[in-house]
Amino acid sequence: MSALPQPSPALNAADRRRLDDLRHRLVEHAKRFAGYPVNAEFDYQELLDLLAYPLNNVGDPWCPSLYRLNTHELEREVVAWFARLTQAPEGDYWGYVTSGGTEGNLYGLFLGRELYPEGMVYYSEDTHYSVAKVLRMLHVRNLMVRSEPDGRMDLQDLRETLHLHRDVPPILFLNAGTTMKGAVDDVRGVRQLLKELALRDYFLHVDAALSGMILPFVEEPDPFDFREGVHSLCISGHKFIGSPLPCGVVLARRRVVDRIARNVEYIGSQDTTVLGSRNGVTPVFLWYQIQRQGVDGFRALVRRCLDTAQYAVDRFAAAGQKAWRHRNSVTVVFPRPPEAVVRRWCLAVNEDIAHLITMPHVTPQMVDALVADVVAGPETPPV
Amino acid sequence: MKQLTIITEDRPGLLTEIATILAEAGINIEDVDAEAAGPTSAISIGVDRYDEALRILSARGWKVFAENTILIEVPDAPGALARVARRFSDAGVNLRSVRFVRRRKGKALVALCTPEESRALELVRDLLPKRSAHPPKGT
Repeated sequence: MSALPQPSPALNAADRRRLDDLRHRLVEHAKRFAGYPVNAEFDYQELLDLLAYPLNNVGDPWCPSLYRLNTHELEREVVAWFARLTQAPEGDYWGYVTSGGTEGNLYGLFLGRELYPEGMVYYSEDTHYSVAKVLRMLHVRNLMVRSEPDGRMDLQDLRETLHLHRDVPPILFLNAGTTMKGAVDDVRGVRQLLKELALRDYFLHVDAALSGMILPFVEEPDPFDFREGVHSLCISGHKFIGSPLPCGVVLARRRVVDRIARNVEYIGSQDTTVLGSRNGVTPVFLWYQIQRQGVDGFRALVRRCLDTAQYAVDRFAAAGQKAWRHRNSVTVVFPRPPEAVVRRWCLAVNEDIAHLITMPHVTPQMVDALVADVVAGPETPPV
Repeated sequence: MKQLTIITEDRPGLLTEIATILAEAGINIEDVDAEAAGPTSAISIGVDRYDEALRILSARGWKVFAENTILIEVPDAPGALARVARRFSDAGVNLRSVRFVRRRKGKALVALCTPEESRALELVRDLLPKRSAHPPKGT
């Protein structure tokens, strides 16, 4: 079958030039793409013929759908792989491939709010900005908790907060890899607090957008997954695995998902996902990379990225710049450089800090060049 | 007239800079109320073209708060926000969100969002930023 039975009219010369300009711009920026947690090293050429079909994973990937041009089967395999990776209890998990971290967090917080409509969401100061937006959309009460200087949630502040609001079920939004500093909140510490305060009704969601694909592959991981009693978590697909289209996975305990299941007759499928029409291509991309890399491949890739991160810390130190990172993080924090350097290297900045994230495409040579530009400061050549 | 609040480092010439940017866009400032919270400035301005002013000032990298936000100052200490939220629970006033805007030098500037603005202001009157005998207009 061909989705395009008739050849489409060709682009005119002016439009072709615009696409060429776009390609040129992307090639140039990709050379110094070092400040965002996105892997630019992937090759999906083998899958391009699938783009000839109107793929759509509408509905629950675990339920039969009348829309047959879907990739539900591969999506289920992807979800099951992530479930094993995050120690989800066999037979008591559910999940799907999302459009990215924001949808995963929306889903997790939605579950929490459905379970505890009168609950209060607690999240740290270092949480991704999109969470405030999600909280507003969900119309759920929320209170920000202080962060430690290294980016982890301040458990002393959380203790005081939970104690003062012990009449309200807490919905805890925790991070495994904060946006700016790569910090992992102390999930065990949080659960200990809940136990000490005798709070039995609570919900735990973990945003493991980046570190969810790092921690399972290191020797001494920070605790973050279902073994620690979390109810839901999400991991991005376009971040560590890499994809030209943003994507991710959300996983939750089956018993809490069942609370929001609704039958939708129109598509003949259970509508448990946030979106209706869903991307049918990204599950194939993720499945493809999982098959090619496997656990051993990802473990080696994580090791390489962590080595590059430490190399960056050392190179900054040798250049007289104070840089640091968390033990299991590829996020290298350093003092905010001049704007010319920020623009040239696509760096993310926040107040007086910036970060480099050593994703798979970031090489030691790129690190050397970045450090040289940081040292050169305002003398850095323009983009 | 609608009001918005800009949060930034307190420095000389800040008000002039804001006024110039808005004037260049043809936006009229009809009211100004500047307050200090430690090293931070909270500048509330009333403008005739609210949405455009919000967009232009946000694009400059400033933190700009819409008019339904109340800004307060509390000690930067564990449980400080929780104690503020408790006041609302005890008084039966709906408080949607409580979050830090900035933490500096032992003080925290905090944004509160509530649909019950006038009752909320009564509850946090003692926490409104200093150098002002009244809350920022429109917050």
